[in-house]
Amino acid sequence: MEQRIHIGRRNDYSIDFDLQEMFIPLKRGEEASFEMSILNHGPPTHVHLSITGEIKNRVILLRDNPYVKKEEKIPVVVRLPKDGKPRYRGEIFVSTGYGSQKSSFPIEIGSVKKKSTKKRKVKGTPHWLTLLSVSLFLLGFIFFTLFITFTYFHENPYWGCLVSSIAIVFMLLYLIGR
Amino acid sequence: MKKYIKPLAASTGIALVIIFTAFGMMYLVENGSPLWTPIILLIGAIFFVIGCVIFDSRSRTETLAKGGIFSCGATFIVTSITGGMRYFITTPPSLEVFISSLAICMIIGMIMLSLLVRW
Repeated sequence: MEQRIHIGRRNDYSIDFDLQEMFIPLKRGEEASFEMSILNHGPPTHVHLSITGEIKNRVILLRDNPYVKKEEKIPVVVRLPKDGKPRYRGEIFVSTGYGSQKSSFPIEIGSVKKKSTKKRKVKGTPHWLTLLSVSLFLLGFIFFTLFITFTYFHENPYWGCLVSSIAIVFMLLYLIGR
Repeated sequence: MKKYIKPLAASTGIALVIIFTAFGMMYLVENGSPLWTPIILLIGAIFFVIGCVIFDSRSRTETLAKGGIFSCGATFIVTSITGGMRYFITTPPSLEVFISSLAICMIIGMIMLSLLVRW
């Protein structure tokens, strides 16, 4: 589980998150830490991080105004008090472009319910499974195109081969893009 | 001016890779592998290691899956391009076909770059 924040990926100072929401499983009285990566796709810039909601005093950002050239890692410490609610919710706000762009993602800390564990497992698999299924689909497409090309258009197979090679390059770029 | 050169070079590069891979496929079908099989395996192994390093993530399965897919694709492209160059030299296509496919592939390359790599 790692949150990666992309700055300027779509356009100047745009903010995107790899995880649309975060859940940190913690028992009462426990403490944990993790890292958030800020990836800057544009020119170097200051990024401001802030926390709102119930988690304000329970999640500590060890750096809240980093200057990001390419990539910066932000250590985050999370504490769940011994006495209190089993779960706390809040949001981490990210702003850049001197405050012109602001975006946030919800974060929840607390004990794991059986139901949510199942949900997280289902959520976790598609990343590589999607990739594998897309690759297998493209592989099938390539073989199908080549089969059709060399069976029915064997006198001039160039355009069929071109379509297949586009699919291969698409597969590689798709992989790099993810 | 500078800002046009980079995407233009990238899309032209992708277009040439696509075209030579297509020629390579024709070479593979007509003449078989252009490279010695152990060399292809070695290229595959090198790309697999490089892929695993580039796409390193917390999940081992994901790292290996990405490395494997990258390795298969990149090895095929390298092998095909080698054959494609031979095919291009021995059986050059007509200028009309070459320029048309270059234009089409440049457009497709730019679309892929902007959609997949968010150029």
